[in-house]
Amino acid sequence: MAKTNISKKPVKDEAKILQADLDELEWYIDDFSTFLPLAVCTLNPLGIIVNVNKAFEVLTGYSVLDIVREPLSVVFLEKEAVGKMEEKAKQKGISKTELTAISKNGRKIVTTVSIAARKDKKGVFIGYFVAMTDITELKNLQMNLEGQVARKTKELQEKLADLEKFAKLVVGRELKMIELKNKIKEMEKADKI
Amino acid sequence: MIMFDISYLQEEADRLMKIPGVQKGAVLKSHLAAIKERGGTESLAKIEKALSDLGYPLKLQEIKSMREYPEGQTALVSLLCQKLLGYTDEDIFNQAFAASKLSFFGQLVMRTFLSFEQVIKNVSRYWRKHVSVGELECYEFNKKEKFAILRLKKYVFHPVVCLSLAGYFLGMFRYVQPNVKIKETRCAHKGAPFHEFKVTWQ
Ligand SMILES: [Zn+2]
Repeated sequence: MAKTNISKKPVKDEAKILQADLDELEWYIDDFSTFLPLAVCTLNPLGIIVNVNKAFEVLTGYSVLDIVREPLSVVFLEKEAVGKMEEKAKQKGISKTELTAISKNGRKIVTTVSIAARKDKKGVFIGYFVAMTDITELKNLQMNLEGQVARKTKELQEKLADLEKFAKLVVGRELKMIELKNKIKEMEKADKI
Repeated sequence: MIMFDISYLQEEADRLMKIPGVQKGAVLKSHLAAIKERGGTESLAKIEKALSDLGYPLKLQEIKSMREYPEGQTALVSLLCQKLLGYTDEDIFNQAFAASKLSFFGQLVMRTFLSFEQVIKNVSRYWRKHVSVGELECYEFNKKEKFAILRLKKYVFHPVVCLSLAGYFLGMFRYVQPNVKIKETRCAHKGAPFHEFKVTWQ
């Protein structure tokens, strides 16, 4: 009897430790998911959203209740591209591209989207991880910079054109002066004769 | 906060909590989270206080998804939603439907299934992972006529649970089948030997 008691105790202790670990893990996942500034979601193998984190809710304006059980394409303007990305991720492991997300209130958000295929321990495909980064500001900055460069180039071109006109004018005057000088010389010669 | 006299529920609460059987905290947690989503922290506080007053305290923040809790507590929560928050039958169904979207454990399981057929044929396994009492089985799966019959045996708590279960089941099925519907066609609280749910889709 004593033997049984001794052998049972460590099992019980181990179960307690495991349970505590599971509690810890849940706490950790919850915390991490809330803290993570990157918008992420999980899709089942059919491309249906099963889970989103806080940053995803903030970025898209969709709550868990709004968006869970919807296909990922709901979030994007380019519906067909999403399906193609999922297919590519399934075949190659990962796919990345730039897509326009449409928030719940209709705002367009330029995003970089990465989709990674998930496999279980046996290598069976079990769905996808999706990460989205808002690059609207970066895009705006890029467009601003491009705009500035274009403006400066135009200004420069205009100045060059002015310079060319001026140069032509100057050269024209010089030619005229040479012509005049030559004429004077000719007249002087004629006078002497 | 408005005070409610809930002493009339004490006997029913004690009865429900004495019925043997445990469930994973994930389901209970998702139900309370759905109550909060629907009616805000005030509704949640009302339910949490009532549970405490009845001697069965439970707080959303403290529930651990993988730990075990009495199965009767889900029935008690649904009953309190009816009595204190004025939930109609439809509200109970919808609250459970929403809860299935918020379930940590549900998401964990549902993210791996590939098809509706696979889900419905695995309901027994899925049920056993969540609840220690009752047996859920897929009695019939008719792919051609697009319906399935689910039977839940040895599970008698409170009629309100039937609505809640139907909502939760439907929520789970919607992860893999968009146009699916559910209806309880026989009920253990109405003389049938089990609860029977007819699931249809297009
Ligand atoms: Zn029933």
